[in-house]
Amino acid sequence: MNNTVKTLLEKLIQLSLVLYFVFISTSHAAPSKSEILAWSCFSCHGVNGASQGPATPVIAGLSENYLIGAMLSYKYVDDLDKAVDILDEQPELEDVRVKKRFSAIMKRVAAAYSLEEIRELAYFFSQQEFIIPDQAFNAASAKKGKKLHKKYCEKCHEDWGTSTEDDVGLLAGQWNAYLSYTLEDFISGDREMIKKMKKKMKKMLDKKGDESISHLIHFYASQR
Amino acid sequence: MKTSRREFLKQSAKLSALGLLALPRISFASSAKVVIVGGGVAGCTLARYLKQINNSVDVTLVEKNPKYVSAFMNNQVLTGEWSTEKLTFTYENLAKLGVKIIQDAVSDLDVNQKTVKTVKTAAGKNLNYDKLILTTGIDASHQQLEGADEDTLHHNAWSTGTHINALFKKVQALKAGGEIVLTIPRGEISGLTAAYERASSLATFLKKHNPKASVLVVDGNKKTDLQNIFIQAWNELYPDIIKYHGDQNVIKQSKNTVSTKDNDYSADLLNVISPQRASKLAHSMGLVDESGWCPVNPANFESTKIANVHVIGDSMKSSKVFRKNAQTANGQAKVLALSLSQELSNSKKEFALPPIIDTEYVILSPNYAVSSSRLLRFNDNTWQVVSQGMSALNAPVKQRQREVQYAYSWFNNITHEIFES
Repeated sequence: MNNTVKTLLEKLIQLSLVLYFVFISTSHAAPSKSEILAWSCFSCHGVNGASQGPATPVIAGLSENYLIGAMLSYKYVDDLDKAVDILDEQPELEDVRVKKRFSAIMKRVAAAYSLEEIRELAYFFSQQEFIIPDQAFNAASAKKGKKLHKKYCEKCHEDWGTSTEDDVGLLAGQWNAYLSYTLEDFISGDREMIKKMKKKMKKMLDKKGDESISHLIHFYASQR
Repeated sequence: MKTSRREFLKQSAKLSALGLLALPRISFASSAKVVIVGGGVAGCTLARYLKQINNSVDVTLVEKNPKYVSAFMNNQVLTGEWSTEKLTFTYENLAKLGVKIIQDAVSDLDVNQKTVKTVKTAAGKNLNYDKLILTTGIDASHQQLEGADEDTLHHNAWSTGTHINALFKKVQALKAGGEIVLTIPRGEISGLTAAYERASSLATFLKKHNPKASVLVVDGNKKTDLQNIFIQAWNELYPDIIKYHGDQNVIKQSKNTVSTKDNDYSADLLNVISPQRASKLAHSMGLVDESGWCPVNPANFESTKIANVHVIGDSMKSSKVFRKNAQTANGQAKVLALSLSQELSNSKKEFALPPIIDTEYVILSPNYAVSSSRLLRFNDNTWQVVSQGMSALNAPVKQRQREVQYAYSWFNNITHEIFES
């Protein structure tokens, strides 16, 4: 009996201690190091990376490797070989891809961050929810885009462009101005595509013409 | 029973000891009073982040206007495309976050008493504080320029508020082929690049509605890379509308004429951006030095004149590192929210201060914008520019077009962060 009471009492005290510490930690709600670093990004990319648009992309919910690759590609935009060398020394980043990117603004910003900070930022934004913004779209065009996506894009951009599997970019619900800039850059060569994408893109444009790009964008904008 | 009772007491003693150890931190944090004077970008960002970091901090925001009307992006009103509605934001969301909003002006500061520090409002309220934050921006009033009158203040449209509508009415009423003279003062002003945007927005409107009219920019600054990118754009976009005179600092105004050391310029419509200094309140509180701005300790933006008073935003003496603009004020506020929270909670843990990213977009036409950025970090007890850059003179057309959309995105995101999230 005594022992039972003692055990119960101990349990109760343990529980109160746990609750107490939870309370202390939440009442202070100390922001994490990565979150504090990320604050600086919010005024352009939205709170927690959920951009309000119309053009600056949502970066919440992208994969860590994707975000690290994007930042390094901007930081070393004039000397990508250097970025490749840096990655070679980091075996845990072997899946990060650095590729030629067109930079309007990000080159200046990325230049000021160390690899360690870039990894902190990538971790933070990868943990945030991708909030799909409400965008206008043309239903007939979106319908055509859906078919095009299935045929030419779905193999890598799985689940209708909602997946970040294999560190691909999120397409479903991304701001359509941003998607259209990106596709324009891919086609002009200002942004480098990986081989299989280049092949699929060429096939689609040869068969379905330039308007296929606009159909795809309407389809991604139509997703909720 | 005896054992368990003893055990109980032992455990309780452990608990209360823990409680006693932990309580002072919490109680100090929850009783800490922060009073923010000025409901612009700096003040509202600070209030929001203080509440986010530690909801128990008592945050009061004193602002004389019922709503915030941003000065940034107000040039879009002059193109005829935006109304001031789009620039207007309420304090409702901040109130929901637990910020006490007091619509009043601050009249006086009482720091003579050692124990209680108080600000007095015009309506006669006394607000006690542990930390007072002044975010009241600039004084761009007509007194700053010899001969200028109250009307110049309206033409200015350089601070928060709806003065831009009055200016737009005058632009619409400009006689056919009339001349607007826009003057930019030498020295530090809030939103310097927005002055070049102002000329462009006027030209956007005139090109469409009064194509024989012109804008003469009388610039107190000398031509540098910064001016060159605008001049190049004007030559491309408005070759017959915008003319530029550099290194001409306006020293006085007389009705529709302004004078520099060398020249007099008469106009059908004058838009004088007057020389600026820290707000009147910053002056009356004794927070400014001979520069006209408020010197602060760079580590926590505390005034070097009065303890426990911090100054961020346009009023701060920037030492050439901080530009006076909304994005810098937003970044300074996040830095201050972090350092204040640590100080007020007696937290031993020192977080590195976040960098401040400052990008100014300048919209020169509906399809043409440029930008300049700087990234600042706190190193060796000082703020340093670690990276900077501008849109290239030979950037492709698509970049100019995209930067317009990035400018709008920036406006949407920063205002959402401050007033709606």
